[in-house]
Amino acid sequence: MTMNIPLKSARPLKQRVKNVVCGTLRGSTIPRIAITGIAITGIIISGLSVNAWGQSSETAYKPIIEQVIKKAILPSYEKLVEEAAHQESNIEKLCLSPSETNLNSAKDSFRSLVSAWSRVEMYRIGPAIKDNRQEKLFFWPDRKSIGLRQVRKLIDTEEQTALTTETLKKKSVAVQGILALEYVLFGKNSETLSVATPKSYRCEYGATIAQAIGVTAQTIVDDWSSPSGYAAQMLDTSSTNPIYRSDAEVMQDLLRISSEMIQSTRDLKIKNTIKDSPEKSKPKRAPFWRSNLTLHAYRNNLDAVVSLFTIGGLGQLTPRYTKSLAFELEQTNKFLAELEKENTSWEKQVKQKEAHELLTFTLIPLEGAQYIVSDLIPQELGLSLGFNSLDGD
Amino acid sequence: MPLSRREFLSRIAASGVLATGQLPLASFVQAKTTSPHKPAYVSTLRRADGRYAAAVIDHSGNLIFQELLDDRGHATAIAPNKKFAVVFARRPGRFALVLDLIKNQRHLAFSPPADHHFYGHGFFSPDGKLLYATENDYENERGIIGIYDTENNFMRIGQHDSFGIGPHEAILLADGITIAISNGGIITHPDYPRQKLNLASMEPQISYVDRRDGKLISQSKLPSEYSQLSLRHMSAAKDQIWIGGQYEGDPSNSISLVASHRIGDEIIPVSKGQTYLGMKQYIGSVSTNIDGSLVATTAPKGNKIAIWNSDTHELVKIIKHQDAGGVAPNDKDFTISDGRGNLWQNDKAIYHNPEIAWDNHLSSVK
Repeated sequence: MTMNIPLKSARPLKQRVKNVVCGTLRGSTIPRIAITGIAITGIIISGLSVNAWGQSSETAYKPIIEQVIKKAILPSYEKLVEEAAHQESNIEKLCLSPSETNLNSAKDSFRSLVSAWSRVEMYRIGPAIKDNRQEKLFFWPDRKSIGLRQVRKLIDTEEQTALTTETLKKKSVAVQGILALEYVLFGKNSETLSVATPKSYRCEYGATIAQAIGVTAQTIVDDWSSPSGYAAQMLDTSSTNPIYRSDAEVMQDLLRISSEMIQSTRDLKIKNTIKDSPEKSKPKRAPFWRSNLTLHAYRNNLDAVVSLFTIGGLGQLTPRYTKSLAFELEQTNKFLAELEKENTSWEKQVKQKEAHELLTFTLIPLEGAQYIVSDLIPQELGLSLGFNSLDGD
Repeated sequence: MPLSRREFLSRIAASGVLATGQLPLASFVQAKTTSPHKPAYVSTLRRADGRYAAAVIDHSGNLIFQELLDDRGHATAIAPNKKFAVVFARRPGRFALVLDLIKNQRHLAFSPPADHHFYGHGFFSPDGKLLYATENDYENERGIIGIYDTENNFMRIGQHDSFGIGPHEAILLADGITIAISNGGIITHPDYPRQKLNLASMEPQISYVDRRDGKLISQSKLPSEYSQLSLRHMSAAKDQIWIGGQYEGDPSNSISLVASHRIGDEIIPVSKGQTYLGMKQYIGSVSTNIDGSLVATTAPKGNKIAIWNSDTHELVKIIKHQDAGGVAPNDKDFTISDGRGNLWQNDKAIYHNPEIAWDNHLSSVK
């Protein structure tokens, strides 16, 4: 249930931050001394004793990798397949019986679809890279609105080849993914979906996109789980394996994608959008601003990282770092949830001083979280990548 | 047990000693203007304090001097008279630092025009009067070769089109006229730092441009199955250029990561994809030895260096080497730099400082 709280509430930013932080700490074992603005991250990290934890490099990684695949990666993609089918079904209902109720139902499904997508977005490896599937599912950023123009053109010209999955999937990656569907359901003239004649072009195109998303997601699931699929490659490392020569390399890849998800959320999705001030902010750079699901997507992005380390077990060899990581990300998500409760559009929120300050504050725990994943955990496990093996050029 | 970066920095702060390992920074400073050593290599590096620098080293591995950089550097262009070296920022950086190799100090810094950034590579004209740099005109998504007047404080005096997207490295061929440009094909923009914006539609290619008038002499694209091999680094070997790429497609694909090319011919993949097993689809640097008979390609993600016969294209050997990024010619064959602070010359570590990490490229002052 959302509450309509005015942004200029009686609770100033400091109080809101304190409430969130204290709320978090009440249920955790992190020392209360950690509550000090920018020092939150630093104190927690520097309070850890690397020596006391022992070296983990000899530990067998295979059971962890297996758990990651079975408990985190595959179920998350299967959920995306499921939500895409649900979305398709609800849009089909709308197409057959256009109404406000059915349009709202389709929009509700989109929220679930965004949740599911945002929880697999981080797995940009193997099956997601093949055939540009990641871009087919999520063409972002679209800096010059190339994808938007292509989607509009299809709708304006009622291009019939966009109405079957087979032909749609042969088109530009930008017209067959979640952001194309967002434009159909929430973009300019989307309100006509509720009053259109049955089987209108826009509606049928939306249903086809939903189906294409499901097909792409299912292909990714299949490529993960087939006998010689990506999961098998991850679990059968050797010098002749074309991707992974050792279990340690798999672990490095899992840590890398986790770090990249946090960094992307911080630098590309938040920092690059809010800029230095509300006046300079550019909210439309963020994904899902049309559906006002930006914060919802971010929260799921970060939840997915936490889940990978907890349910997926990636953090089981480094329990204290994992606890710190979860603390940093959950704290970030509490800030984001606070903003989501405001029930204000993302575009307006970013332009408001209080919300802007809160978003700026999230950069601190996110930096801490990324440092834990990119530096501290690899160091602890003896998995640090060489300087020239990191972000190459 | 390795120290965390923060722990390390806190110890350094507590001790009051700068963390440059065997050679404290003070000795670099003292070495300035008094060093009898002759510069042999230039490279950028990351220091223990997390800051970036450019360093000049002699043939015996003595670090002659270093200069701090505003941010991470990439490659270095050496002036024909060996008096200057220009260190370029790593993309999407906007600084270039001119090092005076006679006075052993920084000379000046300059930047590309607004809305441009450097890709990290450049070269001098044969007479040393002009410097050419690969740049991104990012608002227009256009590859540029910027031209700077070295006799006028490196003032920008013009530009050529690179005839492609993402001109990463450009080299001047032996005729002194033809610029070979590896257009990696990937659109980037500083608003989305280091994010690749067009992986689904990239078209890497090699362009040859007349440096006098900027006209396109020739252009060659990769076969369609290589459309996601971003061509990055290059080196001339006799009448060919050798190019190292980074593959953005399915990591399990068996792809040749190195290619060779002669103007007018098709681009030829060097060796079969299987040769590149374990190189993680990534070539870091390409260099040719003094007589052009051998080409070295580093694969730091796979901890390997491949040495090739430039005439036959045969693989001479693969050297296992941790985190080796930079490679440059020496009198015998190649000198190699790595992220563990080593410089290897003729199988011997001539410099070792585990507190620094040598960056992607090494240049010879030859």
